[in-house]
Amino acid sequence: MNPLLEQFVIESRDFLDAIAKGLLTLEREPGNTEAIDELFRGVHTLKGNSGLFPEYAAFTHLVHAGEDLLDAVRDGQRNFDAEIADHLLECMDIVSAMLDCVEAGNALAPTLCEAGKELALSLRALRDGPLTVQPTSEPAAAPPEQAAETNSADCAYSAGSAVADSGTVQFRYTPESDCFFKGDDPLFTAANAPGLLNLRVTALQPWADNDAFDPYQCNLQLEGICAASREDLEQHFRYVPDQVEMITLAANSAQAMQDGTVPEPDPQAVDTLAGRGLSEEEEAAAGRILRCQYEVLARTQPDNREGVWRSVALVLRGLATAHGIGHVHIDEALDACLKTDSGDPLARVLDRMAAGTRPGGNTPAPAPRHAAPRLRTLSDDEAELVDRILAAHLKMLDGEPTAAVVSAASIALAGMRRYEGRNDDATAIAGLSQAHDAAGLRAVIASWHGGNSAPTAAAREAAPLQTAPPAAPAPQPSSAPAKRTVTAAAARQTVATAPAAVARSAAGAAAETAAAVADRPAAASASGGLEAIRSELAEAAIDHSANRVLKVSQEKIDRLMDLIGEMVVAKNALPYLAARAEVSTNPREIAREIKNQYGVINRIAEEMQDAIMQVRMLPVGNIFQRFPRLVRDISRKLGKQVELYMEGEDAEADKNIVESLADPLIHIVRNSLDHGLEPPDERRAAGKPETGIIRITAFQEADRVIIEISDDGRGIDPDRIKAKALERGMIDEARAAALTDHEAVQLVFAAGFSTAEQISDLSGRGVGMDVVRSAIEKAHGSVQLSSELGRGTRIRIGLPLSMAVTNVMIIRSAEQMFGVQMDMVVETVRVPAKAIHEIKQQRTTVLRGRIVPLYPLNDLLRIPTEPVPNEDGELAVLVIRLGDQDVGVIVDDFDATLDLILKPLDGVLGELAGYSGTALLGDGSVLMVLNPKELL
Amino acid sequence: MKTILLVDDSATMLMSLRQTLDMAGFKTETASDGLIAFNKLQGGLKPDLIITDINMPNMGGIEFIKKARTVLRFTPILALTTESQQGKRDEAKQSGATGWLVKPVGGPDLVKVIKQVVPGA
Repeated sequence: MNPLLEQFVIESRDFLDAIAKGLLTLEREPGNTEAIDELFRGVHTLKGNSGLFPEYAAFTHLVHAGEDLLDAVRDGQRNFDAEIADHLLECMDIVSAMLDCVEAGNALAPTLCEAGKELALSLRALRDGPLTVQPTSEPAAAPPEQAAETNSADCAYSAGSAVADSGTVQFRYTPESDCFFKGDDPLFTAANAPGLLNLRVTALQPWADNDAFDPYQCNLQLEGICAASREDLEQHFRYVPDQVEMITLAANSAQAMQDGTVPEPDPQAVDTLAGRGLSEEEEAAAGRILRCQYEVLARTQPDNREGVWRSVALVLRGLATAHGIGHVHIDEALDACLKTDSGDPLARVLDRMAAGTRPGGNTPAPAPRHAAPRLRTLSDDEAELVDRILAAHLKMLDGEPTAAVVSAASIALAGMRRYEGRNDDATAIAGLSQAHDAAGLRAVIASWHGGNSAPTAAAREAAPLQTAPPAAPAPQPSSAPAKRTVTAAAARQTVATAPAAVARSAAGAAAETAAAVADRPAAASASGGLEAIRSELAEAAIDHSANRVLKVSQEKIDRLMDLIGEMVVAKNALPYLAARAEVSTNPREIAREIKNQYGVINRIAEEMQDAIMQVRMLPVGNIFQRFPRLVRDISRKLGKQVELYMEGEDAEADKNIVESLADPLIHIVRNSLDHGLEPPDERRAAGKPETGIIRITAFQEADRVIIEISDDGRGIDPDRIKAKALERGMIDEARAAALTDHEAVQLVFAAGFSTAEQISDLSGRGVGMDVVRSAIEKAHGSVQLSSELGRGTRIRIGLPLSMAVTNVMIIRSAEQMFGVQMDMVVETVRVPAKAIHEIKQQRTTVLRGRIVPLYPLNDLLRIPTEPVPNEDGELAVLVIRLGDQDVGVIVDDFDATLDLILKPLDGVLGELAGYSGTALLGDGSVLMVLNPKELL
Repeated sequence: MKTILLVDDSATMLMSLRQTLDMAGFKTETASDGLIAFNKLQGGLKPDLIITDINMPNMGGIEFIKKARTVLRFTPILALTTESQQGKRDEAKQSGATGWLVKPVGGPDLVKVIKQVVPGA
């Protein structure tokens, strides 16, 4: 992986962590503007960085959607709520999974891109309200029947004409023929004109023959239309004012650009395409262009909408002019759009042009808008297509579809209804989508044909416009077989010169609609798959934060650096000493100097060891980070109210220890959430506050780090545990009766024990507390559980600060040396032989009032030798703590304690459970380190 | 050799800019927010060009440009913006930025722009 990409992945992971944290903070304190700003900055930078890698466009796209939503939150347009948090967290989960792909050096997985695309849609829906994610239903959202809508539009219409077209200027730039020698770049200059909508480059003179052609002479004329003021253009062309002509355009001049003629506007013109005596081909072409415009309009973004509206208006004007229709209403609609900041007025004009109703010209009379839209008869092919589309959608809406699926389906359905001319139905469908009513949509599909029988024969015959079926609104004007191709070309060019985003989104919209409709009958299963991916992602996000990169404070590295410096100096003394030894006659003096030097190097080595250990120390907070998210997600899933308190995140432990803690801790917290804490009503009944508490505390105690997880839930019922253990045959009746409550509760640590009657998908996946225990013991830790029925449960985990170096006590038995880890040794005592009693063939002794069972090590190791007492007849007893109980091991003698690097047994010795590892002693011999837990 | 001060809170962005600029033969200095960058300027750093992000912790780009202008009156300053930050561009310009770059920037375009604003580059 190249270093830039590596840097990107590392940094992005940091951002994701910070973002997740910020989101949770924000959920708790929605008004925290500082948190919003920081969150926004994180997402913004993430997006900016990903932009450096065009191959991960899906990544950028998704983060961008998240950024926009956060922007709306920051500006106060949206209130931050749980829904937004859910979506953004999900967004970060997908992004994190995408990062995995990036890190693995792969392309983004298609399923992820798919999920990301769907999520981006719902993010945008959240930002804008439901309207903008339903491209074709936008016109339906402002149906003519809604009086209020109509009125406001009327006002806009009548007020609009005064400022009509003030911002459209045509320029003609005829560069001097020797302009290249003056440093001009005519094409560059013209192409960068402000608000450029269209540019045409033509030859000024007919091109000369190849022989006579002079490439250094400019023979061009550049003409363009700009949506900008004349002053702006004058400013732009300030270096070549004499070569540029400018005309502030009259309203109808889009056509003028195309064919050089300005048709007389017909004052009597109607503004619909219907009844204009167009040929079928012409109508089809016009219909396609109009459909394109719907898509373009629906894809409006805040930063491009002015350009989009202007471009749509231009196309409509071109179309209107070509067919001799009046276009005043188009200009008015454009103004209304610009004024009201909404694409609705243009959408209404589109509706009218397509459907063939009159808007009432210059007089704002609402009446004509009530004209019933004409109904269309579907051809056989179309009818068959409709059936296929309906079937596909029914499948898509099966089960519990996501908001994006519902909205995609409703778009398609509404589009089909509108195509049939049944705008009322289309409006109703759009309404269902806003309510995310999947069942309603299914009902609509089921009764599709029933509702279709109503139209009269007369209405069926009056098909106003022949257009392509909505299932395939491919914006390909070039294929339009129209006679007046001029119009189609106008549309194409305008679409092409409009901001690139528009063209892209138009194509995207077509592709999306097509994908959502008939072409992909697998849509249903795909969206089911997406759901599955999502839940996996949520899991992954929680398990993910294991650090791949060790971050170390500057301070620790500096200390190491200093020590290395000292080491280098100390090392240099050795050759000097060697040279002295060669000529010296006093070996004792040399020996002393070498010992001195050893002392220096030894000190440095020890300090270096310590410094390296410090480098490996991580705050346990690293694994705590994931708990807020875990608790939030699970408690929401279970409908419980939980407050999580965390303390002592700064306590440090070795990296390996901290990481080995992650899984057990997650399991314990899950258990607390799932089994420990009660639902609110049960808590209320028990006289507790509705909100349960989980507390995670970490602190250092001597050379161990202690982590306590406690909850105030229902606690563990010892009787239930006993019953369960009996049922499983883990204990017998007598033992069950003898168990104290505390002992009974400890049974949860036994292998294969799970009391959950119903295995939920949270905890109880077949791994129980026994896995927790073994994971912790693997890290040389211990775990204790105490529980009070009805009051809560507390689990205490103790771990060594570091695993790298183990403090081992050396013992002798049967003339061999063995090691025992010091952290297991409680004490060493000498017990007089007469103080050892045999009770039921078990040797025991009494230590400080407690009875301690004794086992000779030789017996445990099957060495047929009796332990050897010392001269005073005392036996050496090593007292070891096993769980709660102290056990004595009789050995021959104790020896020193050493810091050793323990290596686990592997190969053929790997099966030897009685040993926890081996270590090399200073003289090169191998020390076997015992694992008393297994031996006993 | 011309020195360029790069200010961005994203290490990835800094790395990307540096890669391009190093190859084009510029000397680069980096700072991870406005405050650090400004301290560098006060410490006597005299870059031939400053390229700064807008949205940064501690001290954002706009404020940094304003402050930088109190120390360096004629050094060209380019603001790094995204396409959605049109408002910020004007603000940056008013604060004294020479111009702006739209992210993602990189490769020949960046070098071209730098040659335009840095005399003799």
